[in-house]
Amino acid sequence: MPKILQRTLLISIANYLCYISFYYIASTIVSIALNDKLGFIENRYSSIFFFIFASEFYDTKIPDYIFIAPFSKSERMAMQKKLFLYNHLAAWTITSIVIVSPELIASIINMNIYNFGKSVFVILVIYFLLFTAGHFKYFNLLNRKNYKCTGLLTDTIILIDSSITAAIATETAPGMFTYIIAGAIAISAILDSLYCYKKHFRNMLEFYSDYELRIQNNNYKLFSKTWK
Amino acid sequence: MLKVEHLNKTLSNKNNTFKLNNISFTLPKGYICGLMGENGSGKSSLIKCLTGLYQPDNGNIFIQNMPFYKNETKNKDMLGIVLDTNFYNQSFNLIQIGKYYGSLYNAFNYKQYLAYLSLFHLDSKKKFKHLSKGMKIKVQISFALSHNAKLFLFDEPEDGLDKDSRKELVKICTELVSDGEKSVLLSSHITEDLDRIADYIGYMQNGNMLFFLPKDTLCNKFRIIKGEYYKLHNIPKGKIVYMEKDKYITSAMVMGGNKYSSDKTLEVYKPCISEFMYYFVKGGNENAKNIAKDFININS
Repeated sequence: MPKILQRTLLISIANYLCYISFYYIASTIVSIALNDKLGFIENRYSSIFFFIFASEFYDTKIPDYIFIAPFSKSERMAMQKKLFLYNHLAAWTITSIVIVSPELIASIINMNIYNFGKSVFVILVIYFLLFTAGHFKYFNLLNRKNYKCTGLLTDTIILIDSSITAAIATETAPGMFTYIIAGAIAISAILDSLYCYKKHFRNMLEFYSDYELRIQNNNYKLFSKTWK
Repeated sequence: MLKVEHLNKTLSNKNNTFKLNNISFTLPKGYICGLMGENGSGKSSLIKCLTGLYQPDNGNIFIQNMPFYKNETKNKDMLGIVLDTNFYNQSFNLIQIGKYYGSLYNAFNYKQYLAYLSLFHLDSKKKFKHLSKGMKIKVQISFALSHNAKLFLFDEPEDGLDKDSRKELVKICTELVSDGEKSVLLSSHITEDLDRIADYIGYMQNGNMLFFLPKDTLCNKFRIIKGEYYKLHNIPKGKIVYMEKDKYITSAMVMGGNKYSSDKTLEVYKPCISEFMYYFVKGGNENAKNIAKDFININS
């Protein structure tokens, strides 16, 4: 992996770990202060936050210097593609570890096949839900004209995805019903992943690898923020 | 070394549109070209096209006879770039910048980079974000000079540099081209420096390259004439770039004005680059365009 990608990926992972650490510190402080009346330490809250933090991985782009460094546009696109895949794998792995690993390890130790199967299922669902969240982030990025609207949609999708992850990971909703919903969403996420890979993924790679497009987007974002 | 053919590029945002129109020129090996023009004349946009940041709508760019976009990786390896925008990671110190970004080039010389940093009195342990504007330019220059580039594209590098560093840069540019293998394209507002080092002058106005000629050829074709108004009044208007009336004396820059040197009541002399630019800017866009057209017709 080129050094420039290694560093970018490491920064994303370090950011994610920082978020998790801050969450634990903040939630512990809030729990102690409120005598844990809101149940902040509970898994379901943690899972929601960990999923939201993981979606930040998809904001990572190749560093700006790449535009004047000796790389062609197709090389830049290939790099961004690699970065996306590495980010996705990193986000998936870390999120799975922090959300599922306690139950997975316990199920292995206790030889509980049901819980083991459930943990594997959650890991698979997380993979596709994260892919969907990432896709919507790029979709939002590419639709500059409706930036606010798609931004709201993206945030909603991420929130729904994270809630589903939390629900199936902690079984807070009735078991069967949750699994059916999660299964349906996972299937739609798979279809969406395939669709997005074909339609939006290449656009996203091109967008991130083109200096002019990136500048225009920054200007638009700046305008949008000022206007707000 | 650098050949640009019929380059067109339209840049637009919400409020306005700017166009680089049919830019063509050739910069041979071993020469320094000074790119001049008013603010917004298209110098930086042209340099961004040459670095590959902006992709031209049409037209061709060749570096050492290789089409730029067909050999983008190889061509970019040959470019030493200094831009008004900083692309380095702000939280890196100068050592990290050298090691991290230097690894992207085939022939980056880390020792040479450190030597240039010390030449410019830069502390290599300082973080990039803590440097002043001029110091940041110096880092860019040091980096551009350290990876064995063949073509140097400097976009207003003197902006923010102190006088000593400007002198150093002028010296470095002269040394760079001395082996006859490297070329420098330098956009600058500091015309005194261009006067000293530039072999070619590219003059841009409103997205058009009005002139791209050897400096001496360009300056030889114009004269500044100073004298009383009634005498200058007879000069054909199509030949006057701009005429400035004062209470006692009138001065004008005239195309092919050498014939007036026989008139002892007039002061006639060759313009320097700063005067050349002053009169062209004052003369306005339309007049400059017409003069350039006439000039090319006469000299072709």
